[in-house]
Amino acid sequence: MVSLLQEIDTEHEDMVHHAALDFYGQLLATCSSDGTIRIFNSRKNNKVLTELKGHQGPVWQVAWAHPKFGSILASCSYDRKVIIWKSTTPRDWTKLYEYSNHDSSVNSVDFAPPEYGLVLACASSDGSISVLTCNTEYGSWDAKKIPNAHTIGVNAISWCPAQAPDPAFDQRVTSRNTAVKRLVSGGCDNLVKVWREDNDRWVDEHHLEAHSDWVRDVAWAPSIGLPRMQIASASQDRHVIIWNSNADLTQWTSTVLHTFDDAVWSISWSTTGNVLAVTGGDNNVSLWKENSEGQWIRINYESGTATQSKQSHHLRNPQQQPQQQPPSNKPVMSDSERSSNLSNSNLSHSQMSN
Amino acid sequence: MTEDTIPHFEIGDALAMRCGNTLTASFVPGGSKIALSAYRPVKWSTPDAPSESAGEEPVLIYMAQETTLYTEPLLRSLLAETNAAFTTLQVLSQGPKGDAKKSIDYLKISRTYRSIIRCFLEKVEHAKKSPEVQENEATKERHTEAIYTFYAIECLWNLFEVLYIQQQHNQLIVGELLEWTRFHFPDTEDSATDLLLMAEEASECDNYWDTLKTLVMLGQLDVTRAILSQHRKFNQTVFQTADQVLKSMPVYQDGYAMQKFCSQWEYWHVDLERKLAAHVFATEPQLELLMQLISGSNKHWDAELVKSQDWYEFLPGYLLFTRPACKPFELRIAATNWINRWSGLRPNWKMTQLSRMIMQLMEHDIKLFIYEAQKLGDSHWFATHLIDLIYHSGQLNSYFEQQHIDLPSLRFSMIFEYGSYLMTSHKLWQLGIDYLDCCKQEGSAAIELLLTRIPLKSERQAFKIIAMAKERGLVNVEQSICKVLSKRAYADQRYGNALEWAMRSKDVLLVTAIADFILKHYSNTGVMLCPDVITSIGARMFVSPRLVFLTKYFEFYEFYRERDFLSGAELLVNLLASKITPDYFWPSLLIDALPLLESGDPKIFAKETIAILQHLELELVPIIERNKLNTAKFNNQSSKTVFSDYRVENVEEILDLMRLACARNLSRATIIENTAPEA
Repeated sequence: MVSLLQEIDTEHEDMVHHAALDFYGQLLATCSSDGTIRIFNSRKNNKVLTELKGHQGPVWQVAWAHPKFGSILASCSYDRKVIIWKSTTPRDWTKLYEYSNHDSSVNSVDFAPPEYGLVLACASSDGSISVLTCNTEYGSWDAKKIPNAHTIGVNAISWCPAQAPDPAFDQRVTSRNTAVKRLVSGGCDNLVKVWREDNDRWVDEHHLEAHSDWVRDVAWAPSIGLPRMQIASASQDRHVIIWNSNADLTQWTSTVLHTFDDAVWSISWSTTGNVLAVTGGDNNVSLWKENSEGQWIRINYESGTATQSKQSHHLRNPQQQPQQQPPSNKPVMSDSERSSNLSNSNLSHSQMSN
Repeated sequence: MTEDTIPHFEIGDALAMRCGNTLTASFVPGGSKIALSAYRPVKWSTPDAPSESAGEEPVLIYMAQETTLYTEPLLRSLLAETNAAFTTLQVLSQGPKGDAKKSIDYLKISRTYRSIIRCFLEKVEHAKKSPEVQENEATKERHTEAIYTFYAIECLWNLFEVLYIQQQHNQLIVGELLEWTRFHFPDTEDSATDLLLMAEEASECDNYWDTLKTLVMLGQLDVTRAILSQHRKFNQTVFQTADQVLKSMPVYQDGYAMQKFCSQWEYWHVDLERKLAAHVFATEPQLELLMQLISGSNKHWDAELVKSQDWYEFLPGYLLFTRPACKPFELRIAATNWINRWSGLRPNWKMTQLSRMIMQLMEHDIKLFIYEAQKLGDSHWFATHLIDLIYHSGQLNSYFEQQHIDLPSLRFSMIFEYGSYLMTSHKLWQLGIDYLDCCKQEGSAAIELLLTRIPLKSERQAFKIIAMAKERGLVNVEQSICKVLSKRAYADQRYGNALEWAMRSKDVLLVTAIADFILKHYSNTGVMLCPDVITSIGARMFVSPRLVFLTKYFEFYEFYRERDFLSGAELLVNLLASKITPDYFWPSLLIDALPLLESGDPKIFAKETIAILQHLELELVPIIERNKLNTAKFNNQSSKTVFSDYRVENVEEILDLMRLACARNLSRATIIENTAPEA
């Protein structure tokens, strides 16, 4: 059972490509095809606080830095630029740094875990990845580029959490040595690649091959103290794949989460990494979680004794748009969103049937 | 589960349905919300132009969240109280092993949970009648929903307790089950009370016999007798006989031999049937019907069953008159038979979730019961606490083993999810922490992830969060919060506060940056910021060399203000020699020496004066030279880089003044130092 808390009218003139909430989930930044970024207070009212103009093309993605660096936002655009913005009050923003060393549209930006300092990774259609590091003492920026990361282009990028997975036998405190910086990227060569920083250089550590079409989104799961890491990747081949590593990240194994009815465009982990939201061309948002046996199941929710369906929203005709795949004759799935970390799936279906 | 049982939540976004657009969603950091918006995938063939829908439809962002009951403060109070019971249970299970005593303790915990629910229900019922709630439709609905849900939960928990937690050596459950139905079907009891109050008039009442029949079927024989005894014709033999039958019905007493009880009951039963066959009660047809029910006559029960509210309402009563020594394992068959009989009488009857779950409990299908319990709209409150209790009491261990369910890991995941749900919910995070504390390293990692994301509304709250992080040894959380608060205070120009938080965070760079700011501000304006904070730094200054300098300089500043020139001079000389002076502060520091050097009676010894002169030539002069060089190089643009103050134009003059002052002081000091000792 899901309830709608609020609707925010962004008043953008064209499609919003990405909406990101800050670290505390309070300020909302949206970026649009109209070339602007708008900031809202997501809790109080829905009025826009400010509009940031600086890009000359559609803005694809925005990312918030950790608040310990102050209020900092990064944006990337079709105009090949990455702009880092800084504010003193939510209404008052200035350009902190502009990076324009990409030869094509910049598709994705992601701030590194704050333990590494103020570091930003950018993925571009020119096939390269840039890692921008700010020297906070002097306010200067240093850029390192990984050329030819993915041929044709890099679509998405995501950082590995700073907490190194704990080897089971190790004490927590001693294993807290600063982890090696790692990144995951997904690109038009159908690959997912894991990168590791090695003495000022980024080396291509693993090629994760399983997708048969462009990889559209990658997301490294938050670490919750288990001796493993997880990456989710979404692709136009209609698959979402969960990649599981061993304790020292030397091996990755893949599990296909599900084959969807249409291309999958984006994925998002919940804060503790126990629920994955998947959205795609089938006009659905579905939520998934891993049960105690390592199976991925879709969270579903039957109305219980005390809960009646009482959504007052106008119904949407969930018609499928013919995109890459002709509409199959599978039943049209409904939107099934549950936003909390809870699910009724602790006892899985397989258990129910035995 | 088939596709069509997946719930539908649809948003009517016009934009998401146009021109091949679709929907996207992402989790809101640190919360349980999800943000949804229309989405258009960009492909290689997408033209670089405004989309077809540009300017046509409003571009909306939706915030959605799992529906939760606990939005009202009153409804949240339940969570706080159960948190305490939960914690007690965790402590209890860690105590020394003593089996017999423990099972009583678990029963106590179970009863605590139930009394919390009952108390809560009472409070909500009461609140629901208040005008504030009545006026607000949404609030009213939430109250109704809470009452409905928790009423069902109490009912289920009570039954669960009777069947699985309460361990009676004789395993007789009929009495307990009667208590359970009595509580959950209170209507009859209410009308029985009315009848009792009416005394003799009661027998004329329309619902007199109906109430009596229901009372009998609920197994409440004492009340039945009391009402019967008020009947006008009670003195007649037929009523006396009936009363005698009711009075003589054997009731099992603790310590009684089961065999003996059974034969006594059998004798009583046969006696009643014999009386019925002999038409002893024929003169009073209603009374006879009552007696038929008491004898367990199926024909008569079937006729009356149609009136019952739910299938289980009269089951315990029926058992009382047919199988009073029913054991839990026999209940399964009895319940199955009963439900078949009941649904046979009511072909159109559809089971509600509550009645289905009661059936599962009676049929000993705990697995399905737990699965269903997770579908109640209580954000898994019931399932989590019940599983935890089952786990600790250990009474169902063999059942779970048989069913191949890993009970510890089921409990773990339930508690983990419930804890993270609380922690990500508005105002509930403090409750969630206790649950995550039971989840070993995963719980600790989740606490670490979630604690830092709690919006820091006030310093008081920040201190609370920091205290919780400290208790758990989460140094990173504490430091991260301190850094955020320091940054925030700095942006608000509360520099003292910024410095305090920066010192707490032990971040050298941050402390240095703020100390630099304070020093530069002083050298530019002559105003010392936040003196109170600097005074209280004390030993904490060793976080950063710059902070040490700031503190020491401040000490000098204070001496000077108090006109304690000798101590001031000594400190200044130490500072000059300390090698921790930042470049930009050299002019300030040396100029501070000027008045001391010019003083009529020397404050600075000859040796120190030479040292000052040395610093002047070796530190300040090179900086000036470098500065000049830079100025020349960048065409006057960076003249402010080193000395960004008014003294920059007059720096040469100052230099000369300093040299002169040193020379004068040196001469004075030398004379004094060399004449004094001989005298």
